[in-house]
Parts: sequence; C-alpha cells; structure tokens
Amino acid sequence: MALPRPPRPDPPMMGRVLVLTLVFGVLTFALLSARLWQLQMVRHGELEGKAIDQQTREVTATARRGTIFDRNGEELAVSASAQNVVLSPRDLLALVPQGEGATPQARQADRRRKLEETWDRLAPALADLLDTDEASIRRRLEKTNSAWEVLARKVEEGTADGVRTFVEENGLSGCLTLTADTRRYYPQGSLACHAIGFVNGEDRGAYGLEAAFDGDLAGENGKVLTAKNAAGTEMPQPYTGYADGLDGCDLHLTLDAGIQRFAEKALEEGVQKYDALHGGFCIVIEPKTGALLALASYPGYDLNHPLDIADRGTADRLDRLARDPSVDEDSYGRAKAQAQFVQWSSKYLNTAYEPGSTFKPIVMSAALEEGAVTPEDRFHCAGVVNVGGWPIRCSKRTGHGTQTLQEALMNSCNPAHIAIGQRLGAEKFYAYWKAFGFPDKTGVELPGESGSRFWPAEDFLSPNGLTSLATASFGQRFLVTPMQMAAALSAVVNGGHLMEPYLVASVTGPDGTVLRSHPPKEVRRVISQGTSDTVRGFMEQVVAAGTGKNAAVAGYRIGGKTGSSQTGETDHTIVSFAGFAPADDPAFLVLLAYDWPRPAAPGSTLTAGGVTISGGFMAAPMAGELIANILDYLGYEKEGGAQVSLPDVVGEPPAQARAELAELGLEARLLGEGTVVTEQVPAPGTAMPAGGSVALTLGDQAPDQLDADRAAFLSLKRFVDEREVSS
Amino acid sequence: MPKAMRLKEKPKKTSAWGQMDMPFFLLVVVLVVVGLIMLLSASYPTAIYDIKNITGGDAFYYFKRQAVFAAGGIAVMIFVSRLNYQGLRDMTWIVLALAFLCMALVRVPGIGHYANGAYRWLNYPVQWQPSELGKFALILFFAARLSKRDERRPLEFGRRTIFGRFLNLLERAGFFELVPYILIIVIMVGLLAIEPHMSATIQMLVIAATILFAAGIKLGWFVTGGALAGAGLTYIMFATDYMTSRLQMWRDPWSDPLDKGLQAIQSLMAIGSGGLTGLGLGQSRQKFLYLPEPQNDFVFSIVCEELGFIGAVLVLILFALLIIRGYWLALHARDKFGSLIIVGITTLFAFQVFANVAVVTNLFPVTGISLPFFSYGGTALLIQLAEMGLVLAISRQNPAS
Repeated sequence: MALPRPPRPDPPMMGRVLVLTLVFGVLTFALLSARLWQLQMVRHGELEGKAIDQQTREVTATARRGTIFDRNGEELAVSASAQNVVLSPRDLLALVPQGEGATPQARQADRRRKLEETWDRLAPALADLLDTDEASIRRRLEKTNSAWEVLARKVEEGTADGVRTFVEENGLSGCLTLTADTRRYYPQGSLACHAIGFVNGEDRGAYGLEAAFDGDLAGENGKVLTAKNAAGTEMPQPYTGYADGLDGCDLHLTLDAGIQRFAEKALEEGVQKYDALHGGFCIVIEPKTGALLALASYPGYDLNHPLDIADRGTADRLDRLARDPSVDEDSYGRAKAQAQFVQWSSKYLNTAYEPGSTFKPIVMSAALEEGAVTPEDRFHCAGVVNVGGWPIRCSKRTGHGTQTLQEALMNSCNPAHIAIGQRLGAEKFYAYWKAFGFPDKTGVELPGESGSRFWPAEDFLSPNGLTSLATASFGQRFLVTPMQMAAALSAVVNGGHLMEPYLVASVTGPDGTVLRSHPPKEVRRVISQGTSDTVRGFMEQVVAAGTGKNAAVAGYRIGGKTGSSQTGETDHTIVSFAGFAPADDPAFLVLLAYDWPRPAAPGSTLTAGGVTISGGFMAAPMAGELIANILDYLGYEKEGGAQVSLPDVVGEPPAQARAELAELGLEARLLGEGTVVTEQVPAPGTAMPAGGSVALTLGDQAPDQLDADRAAFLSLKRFVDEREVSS
Repeated sequence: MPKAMRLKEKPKKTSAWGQMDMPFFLLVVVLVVVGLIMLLSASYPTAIYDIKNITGGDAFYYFKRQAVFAAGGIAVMIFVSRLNYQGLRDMTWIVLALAFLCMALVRVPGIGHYANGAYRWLNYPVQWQPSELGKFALILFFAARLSKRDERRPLEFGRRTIFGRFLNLLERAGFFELVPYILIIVIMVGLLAIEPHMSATIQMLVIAATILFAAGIKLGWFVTGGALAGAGLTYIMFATDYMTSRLQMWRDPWSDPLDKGLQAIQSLMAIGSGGLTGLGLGQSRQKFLYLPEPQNDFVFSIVCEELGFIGAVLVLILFALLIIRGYWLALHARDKFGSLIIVGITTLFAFQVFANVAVVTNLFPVTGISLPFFSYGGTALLIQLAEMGLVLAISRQNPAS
C-alpha cells in the first residue's frame, strides 16, 4: 500500500460522532416522543374537547309547543315558527381584511381601525333592522371572543327576510345567522288569560295552564350536532349526531270561548258600571260534571303582552310614577311588579273572599238534609237578633215578619238563617262545611289555588262559637275561594254530588291520540236528591219573586241567590250572584261577583250612579243577562214553546187556516168576513213564539196578486196532499 | 485491496466503487412516500377552500406539485449518488463564493423575492432559498478544510515578546486554526441577518458547531462558543419586543388564541385530538381551516391527529433510523472529508426534524422550520434529496467492512 490514503476517521472522531448519534438520533427523539405522549395521551381529553368545541355546532330543533283548544276546537294558544337572529362576532373578525403598514404595531392599529369601521357600519343598520337599541348591538359586536350572540329572539318572518337580505348584501354569511325557533301566540288576546297563562322567554310555562301543563305542552327539543370548518361552513364529516325532538301535546279544555266572552263582557261591564275598585270574577260551571265553561277575572291582561299593564287606571298611575322625578327606579319597578302580580293573579282561584248570602243555600241544604228544618217551618224576623250579646241586623231593618223557609231564602233574611244555623248546630254545620269541600282545595288543574279560612274547629264547636255560627250561617266572617263556592253550589243544585271542578278535558299527543282524559269526578255525595230539588226550587223563587228578581229573564227558568258581603274594611262590599239555568235541570251555574263597588260617599249604600250596593241590584241583573245570553248561545228555547215559522195560509178557507195554525200552537184572529183568507199578519215565514196570535183578513176570493209560480205551487201542493189522502 | 481487482469483479458498474447504502436509501424513499401521502391528506382542504386564491379549488394542487418534485428529487438523489464526491474537494471555494453571491442577491430588487417580512428567496431559475445552498457550502467548506487539519502546520511566533508567547498560547489552544471557520460563520450569519432569517441562522450555527465538534476541535471552544451564542440568543429574546412577545406566545398561546397564539393552539388541539390511535388517515378535522396552512410547517400536527401517538412515533422512528444510519455511514466513510460531509448533512437534517416537531408540539417557540420530506416545498425537497444523494455517494466508497 504505497498509495497515500486520505485520512480516515480516527478514534476520537468516532467517539464524537457517537455522541452526535446519541444526541440527534436518540435523545431528541426521546424528548419529542415524551412530549407527544404528554399531548396525545395525558392531555388528550382536554385538547380534544377544545377541538370538538370549535369544530361542532349544536343546533336545537325546537319542538312545537302544543295547542290549547277550547271545547269546540277554537284555538286559545298556538305556537308558530319564528327565527332568532344570531351573531358570531368572532367570525366577523375573519371578514375584516388584514391590517397594512410597515411595523407590526402599525398593522395592528390599521386592522383595529378597519374593525371599528365595520362595527360602525353594522351597528346602526342592525339596530334599525331588528328594531333594537344600537348601543346593545354595538356591545355584542365587540365581543370578539364570542361566536354566539343572540341579537333578537323570535322575530317574525318579515324581519327574518330583512336579515337574509342584509346578510346577502353585506356578505355576512357565517357571521349573522337565523336559527329556527317557535313563538307562542294567543289568538284570543286576553280571553281567559288567567286560566291559560303565558310562557316565559324560553317558551316554558310561567302562569296558568301553560305552567301547570308545561310538561305536556313543551315536548322535547331535538338536537342536531353538525361539523363545521373554521369558516363556519358545515362539513360532510361523519361525527355528527341527531336527537329526535318530540312535539308538545295539545290541551282540550272544557272552556267554551263563546261563554267565556259573555262572562268577560258581563264582568267588565259591571266593573265599569259600578266602579268596582277591586274588579271581580265570574265562573261558569257545569253543575253535573264540574266542567268549567268560563273562568273570568278582572283585571285581566293581554296574553301576547303579559308584561304590559292592561288596566288603564293602573297603567296611568305607573306612567305618572315613571315620570315623577322624586320616584326612583327601584320603587317604580316594585310598583310595576306589584301591578303585574295583581293582573296575573286570578280572583276566582288565587284569592279567597267572603261569600255572603250566596252561602245561605248551602246552610239551608244542610239543615234540610239533617231534618233540622222542614219547608213547613216558620221563621220570625224582627229586623235584629241578639246572638251571644251581639245584635245582628237583618238587611231589612224593619224585619221580614213571619216567613216560610222558602221566603227566608227569598228575602235573604239573616235572623231566619241564624235560626236555621242554630237548629242545625255547630257540629253538623262544621260537618257540612267539610262535606261541601271547603277545607280542601278543589283540585282544579290551575296553579296557585288559595285555601279557605274558617274558625278553628275547637273554637267553632265551643260555647263561644255561637256568634261564629250565627255569622257563618249567612256567609260572613270566613273566607272561601270562588272555585270552592262554585263547586259547593253545584252540589246544592245537581242532586247533591260534589264534583271536582276541572278545566282540561283531555290531553292529546302530537299524532292526535288521547293520552289522558278527565272524566267527571265526584268527590262525594253531600245531600240527597230531594233536598237538592227543594233548595233548587227555593232558589228559582228567589229569582222569580225574591231578592234575585233582577236576574229574571222572561221566558227562561232561572234560579239563584244574591250575596252582599261586608268585609272588614270600611265600605268594602263584595256583591255577588250565583245563578243557574234552566232551573229544573241546570245546564250551568254562574257565580258572578264585583269587588268593592265605589260608594257615592263614605258610608253611602248607593253608587254615584244611584245603584244600591247589593248583589240583588248589581250582580243579579248582570248575571241575568249573562245567563240569558248563555242559554241562547247553548240553543235553549224561551219558555212558552218553541219558535215556529209562520205558514202561508193566504187563499185557504178560514177553518182550514185556523186548524193549521192551531196545530203549531198559534191562535188565529179573524178580521172581516169571507170564505177565504186574503191577508195574514205577520207575513209567512216569520218566526214566532208558540202561543202567539196571527191576524187573518178574510175576503170572498183569493188575492189577484197571486202570481203564476205561486198558483202552480199551490196546485202542486194540493195535488200532493190529495195523493197522500187518497193513498 | 487493489482497485483493479474490484473492477474485474463487477465489470458492469459504471462507478469505481461499491453499492450505495441500501438501508439509508430505502429509509429516504419510505419517508418521502409517507411524507407525500400525509401532504395530500393535510393539504387538500386548504386546496379546496382556496382562501388565498392559489389553487383554483384543485384538491390535488399541492400534492401534484410535491409529487413531481419528489420524483425528480429521487432521480437527482440516485444521479448524485453515482458521482465521485472527491471532486467536491476542489469546488469548495467556488460553491462558497456562489452561495455568498446568491445570498447577497436576495436583497436586489427584481431578483430577490420579498415575503412575510423577509428577503429569503431568489426568483431565478425557480424560486428558491439561497440559504439552502449556503448551508451546503458551509458543510462542504468545513468538511474539506477540517479533513486536512492533520496536515496543518502549527504557527510559531517569536517567544521573546509577551505578545509572541501569548500568540503561541492561542495557537496551542487551537485559536488560529479556527479563524477561517469563524470568518465564514460570521459572513454567513451576517448575510442571513440582513434577510433576516432566524431559523436558518440557528441551523447554520448548529451544523457549523457539529462539524467542528466531530472534527476534534477542543471542547473548550464549544463551551466558549455556546456561552457566546447563548448570551446572544438571550439578548435577542429579551431585548427585542418582537421576540419577547413571541416567547410570551410560546409560554401561553391561549393568551391570544385568535391571532398570535392561533397556530400553536390549533396545532396542540390537532395533536391532542389524535390520542393513541388517531382519527384515521384522512380524518383530520383540524385541517379544515382551523390549523392555518397545514401543508407547510405544521404538517406533523395532522400526522399526529390522523395517525395518533402510535403513528406519530413510528414516523419519528423512521426519521431516527435514517439519522442513526447517517451517522453510522459517517463513521464508516472512506475518508474524513466524506465523514464530515455526512455529519453535516445528517445533523442539518436531524436538527430540522427536531426543531419542526418541537415547534408543532410547542416545545419551541414558533419558527419557520419545515419538516423534511413532509412539508410542502419543491425546491427544498429537491435540495434535501440531492444531499441525501451525496450521503449515498459517500457510502458507495465505504471500505468493505
């Protein structure tokens, strides 16, 4: 080997290259693998969670909230689709061009300026479009870390279209989106507002049936999980999910929107006419079943705008408070909240009242049932009676004299009822108080049912309970809810069955199948059919000739009882009337009351309009009209026979005409002489009550003005008649 | 063993030496193929959505271009592997001069190309980075000169003066031997500083130090140099706002998740999402515009996301095997020149892999170092494969073991 060999790697170099191998070939890779282990194994969950958060979009598929129908299928509460307007300020950031400039600081400032320009441009336009406050939109725009800012909730289709156009014109897709939602509408406005109730911003029931049946109505929202890329566009990736939603169930109420309208009209008219300071209530119930036909309470509110104060006077008072500089916002807020609470609470269920004389039929039923009194008993009223050392006056200061049991009720005589109560005795009185269901809640489906307030049993049953028994006998100094009264009075007139009042006849699923139904439910039998018939008869006489005569409507058989309860407060009277019709077989019972008709002057028993403050003068006439309206609406004929359509008897011999009319229950009055009827009044086709009379003018021959058609018809008619006779 | 005998044994061989190293060759090819597949997977969403208006919505835009360069690159590698590297000894000064020239030209308007705040590219003949040539030139020059250090005569100075004795001390410590290398390094770093190009500067320093280390330069100089470089780096990191904010982003990328910390965060989410077995090839979610430009420096994040810890470590093992084989070839090279060239090329390669993966896993602050064979970039791939070819050329002259 003479050739000079180039230098070979020498041992020290080998050592150093081995060091390099160890460092760059082993150690660095060990370090990197350890780091990967840390990120991929230890922090896997955390980092993957963050990644999935940004990669997915969860869209709620809002379930349609169920509809509330009245008994005839009229819609009381419905849900319609609406859109939410959602802004992603973060994605908006991506649309703003990069900043320009020589230094990073300058570029940053330039970017910021461009961003601000975009905000300045969008904020007023969006505020205008969505009819909201520009400052709040601007605040949302500046939340650049957020990808989900709801700018407007539940906008209607018109606004949504505006947003779509705006997005297109400004290239905002991905930043400004619409998400499907539903919106609750109450097509009838304020009708039956307390019973139906309303939903909160999240479409969950807040009051009334909406709250009580929220679980049924709401359904279950579906969820759609979609993958998106960083530009917000959805991606065809398989890691998406879908959870089926379930539409809400529908409620079918016993309520009848037609009757409800009559009831609300009677209530509102009376409140205005008598200037009732605390409004009033009206319940219409089917005594045989307990089904509620109408539930009205005054003041009410518009279900579509439950936060607005509907009562004009209260709203004006709040406006004055709002403008008053000496009133701070807190006390204004409290006043408004108080007013809202008042208008959202129903007087027929959420509060209790003194029933007054409308309670007397209940006491009388108990006494009759127990044999403590008989219809033949006589009661004397001297105008005042002394109970336990306290003089209790009758409404008639001079006294009613001697009365039968029926007359005692007709006169609403307090001393007579005190006597009846005493004959019944405190123990039995208390037993019937319980039997008629007063200590218990009625169980009607509405939330917030108030309880009653009565003397504790040990006091009432003790010798000291004498005065309590006396006042209780004419319905004063204790509190019950109107719903309890309606149920108890129903038992009095329906043969003695205490029925549970109910409002929801059935719940049906989205496919229409009946999931639950509420058959009439008897709580207990309280009195016998005979007692019920007797008291019902007495009550008919109350309307026919007693204190309730203002409720009488010619042609209808109406029963009822008036009530005027003096509350503890000065001049605070609750005037009421409980009526039912038809009196022989009640189809419905009405309990109508006005709370605190304003007296003309302190201590006066008259209103400014000159009406005596009493159930008989105030509630009875309104209730009478209401009952007549309901009877008419339900298709009841007025007494005295059915309405008949007057036949054409012109051209017939008088005897035949008379016979034809008599067959329909009509009387023929013949005028003049002749062989044939030449004219009839009223004209043929007129609707007439049975028992009416028709004036027939007679002549020698049929009127010339019979036209050809008519002649042809008559001949045809005769032909047919003859055929029928001959066959 | 006489040369003539070998020629007789393998008469068909055009080259005078043996077979190239097959393990190294195969590892390169496997890595290039895996890299191409991962590039396709990582790049197609960016290519389809085409936010920067480059691809025209062609899903295969990046893949097709990279594939062409990969095929050409492997051909170049095989071609280079057949050359006799000994000829490079005489070309070191020419290559170095050419590299300096090109690196200076990047600042010339029209010829140089400006992007992302730096002049790193030349437009001719294709768009490429002269710093790549610079790194190669440095390796070549250092290897050629250091391989002859045994022939170098120590300088002698008069011992009569204190100055002369001091100089003799310096000579014995090896200082004067280092002067040419330090000069080259200073010029290189100077040229890179005006681009500026931080990551290339670091690579340059690392390979220079490694070759000097392998060639047997006294360890004390590395301690000194390391201390100097460390001090310089610390100064740059803490004294300049730019680097300080970068460091802040490194330590807490979540402090600015939508701007400066974006890449790091999205990369971490991608890697973390992978878990043990990954989401499956092609199943990355982060590549859908979350991770910016996943075909470039952050392609390894997508590898981690799709192939999981197992797949990512397998890829790292392939790289490690290639690097270890590279050093093995250096140890078995025919001469010190070849050995040092391999050390330089292998270290450059190893450092790029390490730095890139360290960046995507947020071990290092974000710097622009691409992953060899994986990241998109045609000329870079071509140059890397040519360098692999040079390693193979040297391996052909290994004495039979």
